[in-house]
Amino acid sequence: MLEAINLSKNYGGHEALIDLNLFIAPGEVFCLLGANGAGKTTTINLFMDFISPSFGHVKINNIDVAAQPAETKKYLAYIPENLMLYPNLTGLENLDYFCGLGGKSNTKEQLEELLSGSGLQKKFIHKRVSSYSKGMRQKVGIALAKAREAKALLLDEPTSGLDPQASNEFSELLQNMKERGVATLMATHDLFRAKDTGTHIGIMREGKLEHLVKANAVSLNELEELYLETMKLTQSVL
Amino acid sequence: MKRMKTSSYINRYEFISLVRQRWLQFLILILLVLVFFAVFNGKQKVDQRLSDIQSAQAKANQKDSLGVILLDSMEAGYTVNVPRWYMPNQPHVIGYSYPRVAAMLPDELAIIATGQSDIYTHYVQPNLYGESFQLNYTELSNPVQLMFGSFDLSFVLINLLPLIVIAFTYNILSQEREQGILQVIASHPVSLYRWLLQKALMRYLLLSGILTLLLVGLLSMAGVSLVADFGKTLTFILLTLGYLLFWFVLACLVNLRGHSSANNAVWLIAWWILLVLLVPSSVNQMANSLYSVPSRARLINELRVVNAEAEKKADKLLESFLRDHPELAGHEGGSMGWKEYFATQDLIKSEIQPVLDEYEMKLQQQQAWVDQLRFISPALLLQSSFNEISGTSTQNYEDYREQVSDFSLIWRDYFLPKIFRGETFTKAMMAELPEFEYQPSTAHKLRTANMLAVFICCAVLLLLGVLWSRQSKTSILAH
Amino acid sequence: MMIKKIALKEFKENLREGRFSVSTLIVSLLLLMGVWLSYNYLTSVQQQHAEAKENARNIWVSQDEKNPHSAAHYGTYAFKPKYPLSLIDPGVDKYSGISIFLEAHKRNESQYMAASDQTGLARFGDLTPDFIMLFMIPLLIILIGYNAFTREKEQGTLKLLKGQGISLWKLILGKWTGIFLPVLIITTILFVIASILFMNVKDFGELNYGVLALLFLVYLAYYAVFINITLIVSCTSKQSGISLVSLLAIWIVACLAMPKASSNLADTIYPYPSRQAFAAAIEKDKKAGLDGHNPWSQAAKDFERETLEKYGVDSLSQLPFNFDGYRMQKGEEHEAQVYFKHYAQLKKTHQQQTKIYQASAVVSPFLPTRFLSMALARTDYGSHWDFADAAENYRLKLQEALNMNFAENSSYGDWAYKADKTFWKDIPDFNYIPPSYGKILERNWSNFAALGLWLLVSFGGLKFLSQKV
Repeated sequence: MLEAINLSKNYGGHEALIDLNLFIAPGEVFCLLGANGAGKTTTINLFMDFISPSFGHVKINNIDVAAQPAETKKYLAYIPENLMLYPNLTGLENLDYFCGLGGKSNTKEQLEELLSGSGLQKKFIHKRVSSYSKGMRQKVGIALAKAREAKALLLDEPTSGLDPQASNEFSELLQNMKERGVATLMATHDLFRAKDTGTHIGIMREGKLEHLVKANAVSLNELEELYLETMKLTQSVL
Repeated sequence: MKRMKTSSYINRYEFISLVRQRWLQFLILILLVLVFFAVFNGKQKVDQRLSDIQSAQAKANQKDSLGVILLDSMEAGYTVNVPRWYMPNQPHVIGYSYPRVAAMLPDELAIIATGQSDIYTHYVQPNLYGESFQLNYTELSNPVQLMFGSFDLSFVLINLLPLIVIAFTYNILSQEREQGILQVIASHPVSLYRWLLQKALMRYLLLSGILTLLLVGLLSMAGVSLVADFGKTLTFILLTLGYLLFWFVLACLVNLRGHSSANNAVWLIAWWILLVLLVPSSVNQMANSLYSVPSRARLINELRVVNAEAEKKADKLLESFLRDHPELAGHEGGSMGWKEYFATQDLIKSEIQPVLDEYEMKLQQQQAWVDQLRFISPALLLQSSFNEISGTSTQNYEDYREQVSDFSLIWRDYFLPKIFRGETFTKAMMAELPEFEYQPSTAHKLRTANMLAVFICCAVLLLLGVLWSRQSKTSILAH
Repeated sequence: MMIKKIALKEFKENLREGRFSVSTLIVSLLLLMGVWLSYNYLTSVQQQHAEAKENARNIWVSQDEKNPHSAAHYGTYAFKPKYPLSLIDPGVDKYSGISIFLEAHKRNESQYMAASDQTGLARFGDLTPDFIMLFMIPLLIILIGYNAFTREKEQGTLKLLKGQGISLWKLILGKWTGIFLPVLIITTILFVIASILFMNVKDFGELNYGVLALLFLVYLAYYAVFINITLIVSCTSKQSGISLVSLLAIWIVACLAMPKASSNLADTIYPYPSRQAFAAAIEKDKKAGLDGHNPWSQAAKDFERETLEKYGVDSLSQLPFNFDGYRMQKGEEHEAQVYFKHYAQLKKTHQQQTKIYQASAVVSPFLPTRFLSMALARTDYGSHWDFADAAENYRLKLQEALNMNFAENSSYGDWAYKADKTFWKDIPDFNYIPPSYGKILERNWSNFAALGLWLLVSFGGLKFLSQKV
């Protein structure tokens, strides 16, 4: 579903991403680990067509993103690190608006169902988003992904800054998406969540994908060791 | 079908957001206050103008009826208690003491722009003596008021409206980016440009609607008939909406540059200063330096020299004057003093006319130059059109002066033969005195051209925006 | 020390921002252009006026032998002088006419306002130094300072600074100085250039450097008020954008909307009569009294009887002077009184209007500055009145001299009398001496008070804010 082929990105001489190849099938959750500036967000931005690749291709559902950006976005849902919504609209109205932008219209009941199905407390559904916590906004994001029947989910550090309970709830929602056959690409710093929810784990350093492991093939300790080992290289270089 | 749907979603939630942010309420309130105050001021000035003319007319009518009574009594053979030199049976008394009111009545839409109406007077009473070029057409006014100008609709629409548009749209895109919502929007299968255009269009239509309703409503309440000259009213509304569009397009273009809200505001304000404040002053300054009117101080002395010489020559002149006007010669009743007087006046006029023409010409050259340059700034376009629609442009007053000048000749020509032939003025003649009626100019060329120009400006800007946006697709997302 | 450090940091930070350098450069260029244009205009007008004044005198002096009353009707012109500081602020000169015709029986208004010799565009204003200083520099202040605090808030550096234990007041003073410095430099340069230009021109009359300095201080006070307002808004706003938009709204209200609104208000509450109505009212009053040219009116007959009684003679020809000339003079005096009455009313209306402008100063620091600047440059409406009144006084003296010459040197009924050519020279020329600056300051005390109040209140607001936040 999500595919990167020989993908590279330069920013005026600085190589943010070097020759990335990956393929994420429906129902897979690919977690990208790495320090800040390793190229995780760049990868996601390339999938989102926020930036254009310097070399290589990004494909979604086997459609080239650079060639048909609007078409590929039909399959995508995106939740950034800090999902922002219109503060003056309610959660339900935000959901309705964004669904509308995606060309989907829903009845009020459907929208309410989606929001509560994503774990948003009933009393907040009709309150303005300005009163929401970050976790609540993420839930609206998940509801949006469900509503749009997205086939691929792009997450940029979605759990950073969430309290453990909210974080746990979020993992459950991800699990749910996985079961629906959604392909997920998630950038994260959280090794535990990566091991817990991911099917595949990639460790990036200075724009390169250094390691690629299956989540069920390693223990959490091994993963941590591998991660730290990879990062050490960076430090010695610095 | 699907796009329709998307746009209706954008419209609906844009509207809800504007209401919840109290923007809609603010816009209605501020526009109501501004338009109301401007219409009130415009009406006050127009009413003042009308009542000045009416009271002058009433006084003149009163005097006329008094004259008729006197003539009536005299014709009936009664003696009247009036000094000899003031008896209305002498044509020169009527010509001098019973002048008509040559008034410039306000145009139906005069409320819109004060224009030059606070500088110039709206009625004069040209009489037999003195030439029309010696009439003083400037109004008695506090120069501080002339300097500050009037808070009229023209000011509100030309100067303040763009600022309201700027405040309303400077962050139409940048705010969404700063709040982080733009990325979410960009993850949807909708073109960012179409989305922005839809938002801007929604806001534009909203503001246009409010403004049009307020203008139509408040102008009608002020007693202005908008259908009297529907073409003019329509031009006024379309020009305003075109100008509004111009500023919306400019605001969107500035937003597309992808900088912060504050940066956008600074840029838009810079544009406003340039187009509304600096360009008009500079064009005026250049017009003055290029076609500077000769010194009036010199004119004063030239006039005096010509005057004095003409008086000296008056005696000799009389013969040549009578050669030109043989019909006036040989009647005993006309006194030599009169003939000398008018002969001298004619001479002075013919000598001074080239000097005066030079002023006229320079002013017209200035105007022509300004007319050419008005396409530099839509503010200039609007100002010239509004003044024209209101009948308060420099050209309107120029027309008025010319018409009065023509009328004073007609007035003189009516009396001169009677004076020279020593005729008695009768009651019947009172009814056949020439009357003045101001004929507003019918040229619409500026207005239509201006309106087209405003819309062409918008279209060109839009096109530029589209071309530019194709080049830099990611710039609006980048920080 | 601390304040100096902050000020320098602000200044440096500003310098590194394109916005600051570009806008400062533009304002400076505009200012230089304004001075240059203004200087050219002024020197040419000055020359024209000097010429015209001389010509007017020549024409007067070179009159032939004629009856003094003919000379009175022939009249002469008084030209309004230009003052050096009109280079900086031409004030209402454009709208107040350049000369007054001085003739028998009539007080004329000054004629030929420059604005009526220009297109309608003239109403947008001119690129003169006062335009830049009154409108553009406050905008420059807003552009430099709108994010003085919001930027620190957005970057989070305000918390950092507070954490360092710096008092907010010192921070404010530092930022204040940082904004004031460039404005001070621009203004100083302008005034230095202006005084150099003044020194090079001879015919401008004497320049009072004290007044120049006072004008300088007035503008600095005006800028200080704007800096205070800018900092107050920046300090209380959450975002730079909001701060900027609020400040611009304040600027528009203070500099654009308020002057116009108060002008409409003044015109509505205390309207001027129309020129024709004013003239008609004067004509009516004139007719009620003695007309020098009309020996048949009741007033003339009464006056004749009184004069005969006073001198104890039976007929007018027995009087020791020409009664025609005497009556002419008394008629002139009556007319002068009529004019005095009506002009006093007009002046009263003007003063009432001025009070409205002064009251509006509460809403706009622009207004007192505008009026002070014009007053000090001697280009305000008050200065125009001074000139018009002086010209009227001269006219009356002129008429008196002419009428008395007629009365004393001829006998009753002798309309053929002609005064000698040398007589025209004996009548002194009109040399207008404007009122002292002391008078002008006195007349403008309320503007000073309003500007001072703005300064105090805005500083107070800033101080209050520094303790509250």
